[in-house]
Amino acid sequence: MDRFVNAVLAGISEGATYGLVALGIVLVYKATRVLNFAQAEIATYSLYLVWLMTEPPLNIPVFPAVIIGLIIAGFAGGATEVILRPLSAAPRLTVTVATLGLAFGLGAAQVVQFGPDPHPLPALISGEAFVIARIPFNWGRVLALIITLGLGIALYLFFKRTLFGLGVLAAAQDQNALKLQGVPYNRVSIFTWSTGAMLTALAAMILAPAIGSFTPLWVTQTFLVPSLAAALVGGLTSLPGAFVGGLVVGVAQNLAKFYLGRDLGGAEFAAVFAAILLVLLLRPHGLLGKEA
Amino acid sequence: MKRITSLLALFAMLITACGLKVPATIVAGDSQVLDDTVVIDPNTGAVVDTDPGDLDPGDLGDVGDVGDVGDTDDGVIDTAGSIFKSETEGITKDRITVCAHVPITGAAPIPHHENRFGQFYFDYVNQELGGVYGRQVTFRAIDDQYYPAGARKAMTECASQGAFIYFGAAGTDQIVSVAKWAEEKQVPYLHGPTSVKDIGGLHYNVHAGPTYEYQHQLLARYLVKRFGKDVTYGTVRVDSPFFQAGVEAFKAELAKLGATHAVEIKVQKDEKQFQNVFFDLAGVDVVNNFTTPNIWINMMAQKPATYNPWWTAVSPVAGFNIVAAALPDSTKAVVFQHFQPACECQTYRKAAPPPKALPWYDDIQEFLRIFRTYSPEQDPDPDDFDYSSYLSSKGIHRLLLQAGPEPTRTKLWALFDSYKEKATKTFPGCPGDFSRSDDRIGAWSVNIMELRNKTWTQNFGDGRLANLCVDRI
Repeated sequence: MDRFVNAVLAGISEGATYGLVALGIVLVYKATRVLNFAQAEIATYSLYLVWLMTEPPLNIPVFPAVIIGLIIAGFAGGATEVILRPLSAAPRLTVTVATLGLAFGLGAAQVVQFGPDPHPLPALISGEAFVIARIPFNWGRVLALIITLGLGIALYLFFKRTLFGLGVLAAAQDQNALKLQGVPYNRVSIFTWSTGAMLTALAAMILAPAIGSFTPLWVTQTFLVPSLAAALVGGLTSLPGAFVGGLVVGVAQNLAKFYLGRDLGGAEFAAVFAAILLVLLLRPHGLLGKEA
Repeated sequence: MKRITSLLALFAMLITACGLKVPATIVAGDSQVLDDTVVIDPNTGAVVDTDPGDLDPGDLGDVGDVGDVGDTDDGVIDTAGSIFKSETEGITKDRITVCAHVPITGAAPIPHHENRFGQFYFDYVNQELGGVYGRQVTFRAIDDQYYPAGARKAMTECASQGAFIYFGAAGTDQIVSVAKWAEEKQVPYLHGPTSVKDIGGLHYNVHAGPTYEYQHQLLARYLVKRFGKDVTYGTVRVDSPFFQAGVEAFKAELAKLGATHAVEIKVQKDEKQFQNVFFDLAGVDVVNNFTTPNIWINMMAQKPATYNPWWTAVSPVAGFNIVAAALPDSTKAVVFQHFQPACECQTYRKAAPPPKALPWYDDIQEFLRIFRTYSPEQDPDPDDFDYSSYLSSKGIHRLLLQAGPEPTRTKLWALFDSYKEKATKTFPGCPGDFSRSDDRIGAWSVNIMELRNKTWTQNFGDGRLANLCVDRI
């Protein structure tokens, strides 16, 4: 029982991290029907920027460095949209593959520019917040929990209750109709990609100190599979679903690690894919997702 | 976490052998561990042997001059049955080339200029001693970026220009990969630590450092001596067959000593989250963390604040400086580092000038002169890696001298076979054994390093330089 309780708690702690990254994925997908892999590496780049800003000779304090990093990530996300705009009429899968190419290009640039060595990042808030059973919840993970839940709800309301949000949703369904209505489609699109990149960058900046260090392609390597799984499980069109999906994936993964991980390497990956399979068989649009 | 130490260890061993008198117990192959430390009085700088063992610091002779090698081998060696594709690749009328893959960058780097791995020493040999039998020696060090494909690429680049001897500094995966490459290419490959189990049965490689099995046996003995057998031991290791043999040896040795090994946990090489690991480590007092620098950093960042065991490992590498900087101040860690020379346990520490009473004081002065004259970088400030490079290179130098004015690879291999439990003119008194059978090891000493104030140090605050000179198993 002790092992089960600790596995669930560890799952919640880790699942919050996946949910936060999944939020960025779901946001962009909800508005564009594109899985934007590039935002993961925009986020890793933002980690390097924050690291450079907080190190000598700049020695900028963490909080302003993070704000600057987020702003730059937002611009980079918007730039991605502009770069991929020629593909706006192409099939969504084509655009998704293009973002994958962009992601690996950014990763390669990181290796060349910064080398493969790991770097720690200073935390916004460091230290342990509390311990439940034997699982420590450091402030990074607690922040991830709070922010994912809060942002998920806030963005849900944004899309449901604001004109701009409705415009974002409409853009995903029919660009031309949106343009005919006089809605500035490009502005809507840039907003979406920028916000997605900023969300993922925020997740990275909170989680890198909690995990320990980062390296090139860090966000992709650390979070892509579980976060994508969280987005699928929660529902690719549901922002609160990203949070729920993250928790489900985190718990499934840790149950596998706690019970099988000592002797069976990779058990957690099998658990993640089993969770995806099970949920999608029972609810094809995810736990909280639905056709937009 | 493995390293350049191998390269260095090999030659460090070779070179340190010269001029060294070793007690009969070692020569006779006594299987007891000689657990000795060289103790320096911090006030007077005198060597104080307060932990007498069979290896008495007073028995240590001079390292000896490079030229004092004895007769060269002019005998004819039959190369008709040679196992090598070429006997003299890398040798011309004017030049001998040796070539190494080294982790200048990567997960566990030694970020030195490539010439600091050996060429600086051979610049001295070439310019002041006229080379080796009139040939200039080139020592190429190529960055393998600490990954197997990078190591093979480095060796391929070596092969494109030809090398007499190929070296592998460190990195289990890299060494295993290149040992198999050497087998395909039929070239001699000297390399650092890995498991005997990994590449036993190959014919073109020589372990130049203690194998993982041996290091882990030593580690177990040291830990039990230091912490006792009533504490609980455990292991976290990378889920890789290359890491398994060492851990099996660790557990077996602990069991033999009556200590309890409670848990062995496997993690993936790219694992990032470790809550389950800490759950399973609960109650373990001493943890053998046989993983990678990245995993060390991430584990320590995620460790519950109330869990503070002793962390230990074998063969950490320069990348551990990055690890040390990232670890919490309260982290307790003691590790083995075996790139130092064998037999007389010579060391050099950058921060502290060696006391004159140190038996190898003169050798360090010579090292400093050579390094500062020939190092590629302005105002060089050598560190312990540089000293190991120096000693290793001296070993290569002696090897090449011993191989004679017409060296061949078969002669080289015969030399290694001859270094068994007897004093030789190249390695007087130090029976370093570099034979190619599966159960042999070369290095005889490891350095014990402890984490103090975010720095790996051999200075435990009371003037002790901690080395463990051990007999081989």
